[in-house]
Amino acid sequence: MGTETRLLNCFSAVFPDAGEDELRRAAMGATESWDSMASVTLVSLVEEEFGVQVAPDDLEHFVSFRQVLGYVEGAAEKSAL
Amino acid sequence: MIQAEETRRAAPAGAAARPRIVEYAPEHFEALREAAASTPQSASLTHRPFVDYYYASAERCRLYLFLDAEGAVAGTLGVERVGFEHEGRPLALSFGSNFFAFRKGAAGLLFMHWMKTYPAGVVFGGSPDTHHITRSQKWAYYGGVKTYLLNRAYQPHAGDSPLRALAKWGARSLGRRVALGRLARRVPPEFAGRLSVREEASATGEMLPRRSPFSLRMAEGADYLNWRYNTRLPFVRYRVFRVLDRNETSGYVIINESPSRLIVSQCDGEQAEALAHAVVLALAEASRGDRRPREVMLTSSHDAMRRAFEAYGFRAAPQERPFAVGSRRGGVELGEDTSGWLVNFDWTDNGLRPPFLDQGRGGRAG
Repeated sequence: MGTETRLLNCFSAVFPDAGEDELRRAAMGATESWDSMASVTLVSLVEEEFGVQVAPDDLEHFVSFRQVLGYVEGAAEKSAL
Repeated sequence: MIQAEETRRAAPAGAAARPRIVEYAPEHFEALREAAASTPQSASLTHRPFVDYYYASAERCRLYLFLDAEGAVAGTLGVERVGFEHEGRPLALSFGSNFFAFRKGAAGLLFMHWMKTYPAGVVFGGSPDTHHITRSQKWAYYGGVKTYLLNRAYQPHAGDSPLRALAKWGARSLGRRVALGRLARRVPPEFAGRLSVREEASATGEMLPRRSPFSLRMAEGADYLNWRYNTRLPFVRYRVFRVLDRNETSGYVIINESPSRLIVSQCDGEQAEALAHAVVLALAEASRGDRRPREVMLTSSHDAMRRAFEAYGFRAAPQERPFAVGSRRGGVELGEDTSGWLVNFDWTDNGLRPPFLDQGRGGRAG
């Protein structure tokens, strides 16, 4: 399963009522159900799914699907080096 | 934690183009005030003397801001590192404070930042939204921490029905109030002859107990006490009392004084019941000259201390104050029995709430 699909699964677990297109567009401030609990859950799910420990400074990426995807892909590239 | 209307402002020159978490510095104050003014619960963050002192004058205490791409403050979370002692062993903890989301979602990232950056966290008090998050993270909740009141003020609230407002007015006006100066006469004879208190300009190392009867206590030094309970602040007034037992220093009591209320902010001593009586002696001393008895507030979970306070007429508030401890790995296990703990009210920012002393009665921001 590709990185994007795995991340979509994480987002879908946090926002179960959203369709795939909505999940790809999900962003804090734009997605109605993206509250503080959603942020906490999302970080935990991404850490679990991708086996990473998100550094405190990298939490800033957890504001939209696109930014989280960029973070996860970057983390995968770093671990492959 | 509050979910408030989105707060935006023009991006300052040089602002980052993406959201970021930063430590509060005085140059952030205007953006912070703009966001915090949107809801009454965050009013303390609109008062610059408080914010600059508590969050920007000591390395151990910081306010984290979640800034959106335009530089507006979307969320806040204060964290203060504090040393405790549990069953005689050091325990590093961090108090959380002023946990607010001015934009939905922001506070959750600040919470995760706290958990990833600091030792185990403590929430003492806190909003339902805060506890929603801490419960989801399986923090441990410790019962038995009671808030005690004497001369309860029954403050009116905007949402009170006319009947309730009338009942509160009646309770305030007609309720029997205990003159605090007279409490000193009710100290039991076995303590009255040996205990005394003496007001000091600040805390000193010799006031710290050399041995402790408490299974959990805050165990910080005089430097910390003189920062957190600084007796020379313009926005809050702390008074420090040395406790003497048979003329030997055996502890201290720190009181937060305002025109209508005395709060027992922090105390510690070498014998629990003696400390409770010393607290009463300090309250009597602090209220010397009062024309009308002030309300007194303190917290206690210790069996012997609670019995002593109740004998003086203190009554427990109906609801306990939540005391939750946890980390990223869930709750921190401190044992279920809190009857041997020393828990004081003015931890985190509990005694640092508006209206501050340097504000008008309306509590305008400074």
